[in-house]
Amino acid sequence: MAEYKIDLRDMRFVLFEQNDTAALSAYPRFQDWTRQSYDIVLQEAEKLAVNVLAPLNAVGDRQGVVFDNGNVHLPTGFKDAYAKYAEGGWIALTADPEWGGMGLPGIVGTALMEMFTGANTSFIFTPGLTFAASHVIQKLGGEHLRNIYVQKMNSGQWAGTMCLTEPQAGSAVGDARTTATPVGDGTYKIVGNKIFISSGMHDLTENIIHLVLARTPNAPPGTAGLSLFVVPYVRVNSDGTLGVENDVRCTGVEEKMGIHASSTCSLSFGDNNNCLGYIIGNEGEGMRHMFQMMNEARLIVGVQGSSAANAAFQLAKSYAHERIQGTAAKFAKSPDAPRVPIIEHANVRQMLMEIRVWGEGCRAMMYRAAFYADLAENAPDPTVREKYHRFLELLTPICKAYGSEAGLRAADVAIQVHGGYGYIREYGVEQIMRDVKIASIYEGTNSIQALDLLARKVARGNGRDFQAFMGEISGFITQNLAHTKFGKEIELLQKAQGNLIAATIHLGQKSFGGDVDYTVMVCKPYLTLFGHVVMGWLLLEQAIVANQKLESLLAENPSHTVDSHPDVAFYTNKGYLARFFVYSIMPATRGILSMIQSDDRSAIDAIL
Amino acid sequence: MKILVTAKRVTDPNAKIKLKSDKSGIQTDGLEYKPNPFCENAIEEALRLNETHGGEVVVVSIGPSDVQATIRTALAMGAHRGILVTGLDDHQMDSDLVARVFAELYKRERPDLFLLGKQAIDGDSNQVGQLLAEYLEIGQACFASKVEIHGSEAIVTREVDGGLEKIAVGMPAVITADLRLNEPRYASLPGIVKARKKSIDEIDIRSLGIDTHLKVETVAYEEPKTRGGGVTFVGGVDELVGKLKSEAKAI
Repeated sequence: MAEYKIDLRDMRFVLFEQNDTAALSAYPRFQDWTRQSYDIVLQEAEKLAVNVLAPLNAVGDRQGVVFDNGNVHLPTGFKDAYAKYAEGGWIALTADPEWGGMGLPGIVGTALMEMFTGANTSFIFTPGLTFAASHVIQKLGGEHLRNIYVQKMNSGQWAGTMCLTEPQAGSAVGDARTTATPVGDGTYKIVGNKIFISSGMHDLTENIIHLVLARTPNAPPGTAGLSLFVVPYVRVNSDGTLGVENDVRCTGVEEKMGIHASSTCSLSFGDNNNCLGYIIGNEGEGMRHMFQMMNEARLIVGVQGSSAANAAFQLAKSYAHERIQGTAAKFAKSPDAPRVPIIEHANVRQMLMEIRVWGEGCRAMMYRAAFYADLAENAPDPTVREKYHRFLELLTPICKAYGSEAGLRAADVAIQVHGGYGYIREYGVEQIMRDVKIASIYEGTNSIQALDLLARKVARGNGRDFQAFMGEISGFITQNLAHTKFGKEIELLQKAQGNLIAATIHLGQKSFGGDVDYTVMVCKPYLTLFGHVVMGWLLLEQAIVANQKLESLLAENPSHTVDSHPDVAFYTNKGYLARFFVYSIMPATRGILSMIQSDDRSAIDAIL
Repeated sequence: MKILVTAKRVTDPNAKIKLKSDKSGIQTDGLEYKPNPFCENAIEEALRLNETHGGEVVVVSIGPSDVQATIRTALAMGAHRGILVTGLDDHQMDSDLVARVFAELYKRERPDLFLLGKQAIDGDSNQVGQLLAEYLEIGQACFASKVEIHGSEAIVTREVDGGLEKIAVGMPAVITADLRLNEPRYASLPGIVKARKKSIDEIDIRSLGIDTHLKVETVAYEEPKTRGGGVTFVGGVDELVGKLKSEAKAI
């Protein structure tokens, strides 16, 4: 049975050495947290992830969910695990303590989500969506809805979902047909069908609170006509007790490639025209409000990618140390040469480094985005808040799309390291690949992310935010071009950044020239190019921080070696990892640039 | 009821332990620590007894200031306050000195029960609880798998060779926890937030007036022998028995 391991050392490096998470305690919102309490949080979360969630991962995958006449049963152990999870207060990590949240910074919440998602991706849907939904109600729902729902959702007593997709309305959300008709007392009657609703029905909680996008009478077509409604499975009386059922029915669950223990439901609202919904905000604001939730959810999907990559790395690394096969390359012709663990084969090491770079590089990317969110919400200076808000907006589609693809690629390579055994269920690594594939599809497909990045985020204000963000990276480059150890690699980062800027300018010109199809065609590779530059930047930043730490460690005690002090090995490895990325992955930026500059329209013109 | 309970930190059992080049001990630079699992059982039991009988749970430990984190974890689980005796590093302690330090804390705090893990999973000495009871001249019940309080007595089920033994011990008493005593809870996030404001008193060992000389002299640490290659038996039972006798000297 595969064992789930978490690299707490690297998590702490990103949290406290690369980003100054401890300094966030200077903001009133985080004043109750200290470095020591963060360490205890990480330690207890690790226990929960390793001892409670991870043992259910393979069980959940084998058993799947069971649909039984409108009810859905989750696999053995999930209910108990959910109770422990809720009891420990792990649902509303970053929410306001006034509303039953834990008030943790987003960057710490991201680290915890990474641990839990890596331990058991299927499990995390219910608590994750519950928090996402309660957060929307708390921020936008008005006092009445807030008082009824938020605390009970944050405590885990009630769960939540987000209901956007309908059979004819997937990526094109604006085609949703579910209707909401005013009753006259401020409430609405909801009628319609939603599909692909994660945690839409389950046996973990006594109530499920759906957030439903629906169309009011005479609303304009498209997304502008959508409004957002709170639709409980069981109605809630004004004193907070449960009332009668609300005419919401689960009509089936999907059989999926992965995340088997997550119930993906079809829901039917108002079969008997007796389903009440309570509007969030005003009519026509549905899409805007849903985006509140979507942006956070997109970062979480990126974290799903990085957690898959990191889990895959741990499995592949353990396996490569244990599996004996073949001899050292120099003895290839002598049949009697000693057999070696495959970690000694250079090609296996190359694969392991690739998996590792996706895991640790994307971890750095996800935590940085969350750190920007913390600064955007809490920095006292409004211009600083605005700056980080814009950086966060730019990074969000990259985190989601690049992170999910890195996770899939890492899982693929980790299976390859396992050879034939990787294809066998028992080794657990194929499950990672099946579970992570969905991440490139849901919460807006990766193409939607790429369009969002290019057409909305980069293009906005004539490239104003893009330029500011490039300035941030250039600042790092200028400061470190003369670095004694990594100067050459910094120079290569500068070239990669140049490739990104050239690609951006080229696509800007194409758009101005009216060839919209062309930009749509290459927007995904563009996002990958952008992601490579962000990764190169963050990994080199890690290498330089680690190098400083290494030098001061050795200044304290020059006799320390890789063998005598784990941190010497850790910091040294950061340099290797950055170099690996710079020389083995980052050169791809050149290729993507020439593809973008080729103006080749074959895919558009071909007869398909 | 007032309970003193220990929270020892141990080297992370998943970490690769390396010896110092002079074999005087293990390399501790950059080493990760975890709470001793048997202490976690003891803390859990203290909290459960406290839930039923009220009173106070005081967590005690010895070591450098970093050990605060181990105590803080117990406070996050629900204990009320902590005491850390500082001024001694791990290699400056043996079971006897630890027992005498705890005896001194006992005299200051006068608890009804002193709960400890039956042993720490690094040194595996399994001596502190027994020595402590002896120094205090109070009853002891080691390897507890169940603890009940009846009036002024603790009824303790002990895991012994070949079964369970149930004994009554008058309080105050020393009880050491076995793994099957309970399943330790995880600290909750609200618990972790609350723990920040709970007090941990640091007491310098020198102020306790204890002789800190060690009774155990460490001669050298050795790595365990690396395992040799296996042997395949093809000749059946007789050959196996023969080799067990002549080569392995196992029978």
